[in-house]
Amino acid sequence: MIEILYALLLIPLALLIEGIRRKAVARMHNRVGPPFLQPFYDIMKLISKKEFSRKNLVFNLVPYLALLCSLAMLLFIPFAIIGFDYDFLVFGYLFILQDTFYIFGAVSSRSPFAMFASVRELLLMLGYEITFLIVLSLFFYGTGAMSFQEFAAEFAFLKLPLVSLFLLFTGFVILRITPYDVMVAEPEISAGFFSEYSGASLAVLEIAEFIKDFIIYMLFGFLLFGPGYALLLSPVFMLFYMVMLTSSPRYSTVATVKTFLFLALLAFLDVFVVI
Amino acid sequence: MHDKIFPIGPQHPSLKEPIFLKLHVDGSYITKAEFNLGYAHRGVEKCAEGYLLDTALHAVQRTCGICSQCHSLAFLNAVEPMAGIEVPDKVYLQRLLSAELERIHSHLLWGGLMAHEIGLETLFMYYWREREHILDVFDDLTGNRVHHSPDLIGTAKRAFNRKNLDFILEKLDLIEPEVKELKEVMRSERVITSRFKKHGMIPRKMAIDLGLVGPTARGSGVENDVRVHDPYMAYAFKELKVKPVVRNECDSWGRSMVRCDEVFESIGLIRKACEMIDPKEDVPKRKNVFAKGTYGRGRSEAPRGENFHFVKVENNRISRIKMRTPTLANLICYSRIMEGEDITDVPVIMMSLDPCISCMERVAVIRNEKKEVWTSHELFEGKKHD
Repeated sequence: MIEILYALLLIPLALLIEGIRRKAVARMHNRVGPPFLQPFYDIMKLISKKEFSRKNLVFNLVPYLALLCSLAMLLFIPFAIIGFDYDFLVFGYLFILQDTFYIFGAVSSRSPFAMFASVRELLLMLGYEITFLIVLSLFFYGTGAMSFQEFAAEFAFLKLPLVSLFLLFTGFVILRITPYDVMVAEPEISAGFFSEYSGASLAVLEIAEFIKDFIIYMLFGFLLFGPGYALLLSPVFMLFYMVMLTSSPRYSTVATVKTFLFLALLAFLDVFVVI
Repeated sequence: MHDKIFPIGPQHPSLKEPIFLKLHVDGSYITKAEFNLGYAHRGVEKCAEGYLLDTALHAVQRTCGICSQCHSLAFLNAVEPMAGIEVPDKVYLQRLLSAELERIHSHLLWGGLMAHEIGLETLFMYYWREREHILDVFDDLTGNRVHHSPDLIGTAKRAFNRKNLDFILEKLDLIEPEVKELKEVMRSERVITSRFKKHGMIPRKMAIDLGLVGPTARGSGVENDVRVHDPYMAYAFKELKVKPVVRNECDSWGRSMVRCDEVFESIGLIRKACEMIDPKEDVPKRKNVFAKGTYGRGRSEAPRGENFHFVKVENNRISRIKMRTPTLANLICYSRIMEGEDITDVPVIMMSLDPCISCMERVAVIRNEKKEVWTSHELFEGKKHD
């Protein structure tokens, strides 16, 4: 119970980091940008708004399930609050589960934009989600650790270069960063998964997304450089993705899927290195 | 996802103005595209009816928020010969200055929107930062930033002095290297070219058959430019000959590059015109205008293509005015070029035609929930025959 409370304390931090990210991106755009606390204001405003309900149980439940997934992930990263053998598999499954929930919500909303977003996400899942699990396993198997608590390897990216490269590219899809953010491509499919959500549900979904982003920044530092660097290096990864967001246009869906299939094949080469 | 309908509009993030694109898709490929208009009818033509010529000019100038000067040029082309007014060269040159500055402003605005469509927000902001300089120039010249309306029939609201011209040249020196760099980004970035090339093909024959105008036609190898074929006002001076930018790629890429290059063509024209203007000369005083004829028509080259005005005058007041904006001519090819494309490319193709919807929408008659179709003769007369 105390662990969950501890994880809850990280939520405001995740929101604040999103605020900092928005400000920094705005400065790169040559804009003034919103105040640092803008995500908090957004959430408060959204909660106070009238909600459009679909009378569809799946549609209404999805935001809360997605938030639960994000909170569960907070138990492992950045500090391994709980730990058991093979918990990295649970962590990987939580990622896939959250995306699956999004797809359920999108399909049950019956919005054509959400439908297209889910089709694109499914296509990309073939390329990155399953490989993401294998990549996670490789990091642990390659360094001889069984859980996040045991993981102590430093500079693992030197040992597993291709897998690390794949992980960095996966970050584009998970964080919805150009050039590989086809499932949220605003000019094409509007708001994607979240097209039909409004009010408090949208607020919950946004919190879930912010927490996931926060976890990803931490995870890369954790896996590539070592647990001690997770907090320290997370701003570096954030900066890397911000630079990519502001300097690259969006690839088309076909090009994105091709890239990820190619990278997945490359990552499999590292299996031989480990074995 | 077999034969689903994918709606773009009337409200959609890729659209700046309301239009409804109904795309029939198979998977993510478009099998058929239809579009529907009538969401932003503003009644500009009706606003101008019944007014004296110089009063109607105010309504005409506010047809478009981006190319307001080009509308007044087409109107003046129609009205000035009708009223038998002789216009001094300085006024012509001033009009050219404003029109070309507007072309730069419009193309920079387009560049920003295009960058937004391909997901490169930084380029969007940088394009619009350069556009701000042109708006500053309008502010300096006329006191207004968007609807600058510097024209009067036969004259101009004020004469440009040395300080104004220096300010224009200073701003042009400022934006030219920046725009060159932005164009280079558009030209050399591999991801951008992969989104542009071989998408939204308009072959030369199709462009001629459908009567496309402006950069859309010029991107398909058709040398269609009113400034060259029917030179009006200062464009008829031999020092200010326009070399139209024509490209033969026929795709979104060709059209985009035409717009990027036209900015530099316009900068050159403005520099030349600034040298030719006599800053000490004054413009004629405003006079009451009386139309001698009954009909008049005028053309001008707006940033998006040919702009045509037909004006009918009765008892010295406008009884009918018809404006054909370039978007109306270009929009026809939407349903043709979308077929066979991926949903991903729709925003880029749409933006490569640079649609300006609200100045194009003229009339949408819906009686008893049925749309009425008017013939050209009925439009000419302004009333429906039963």
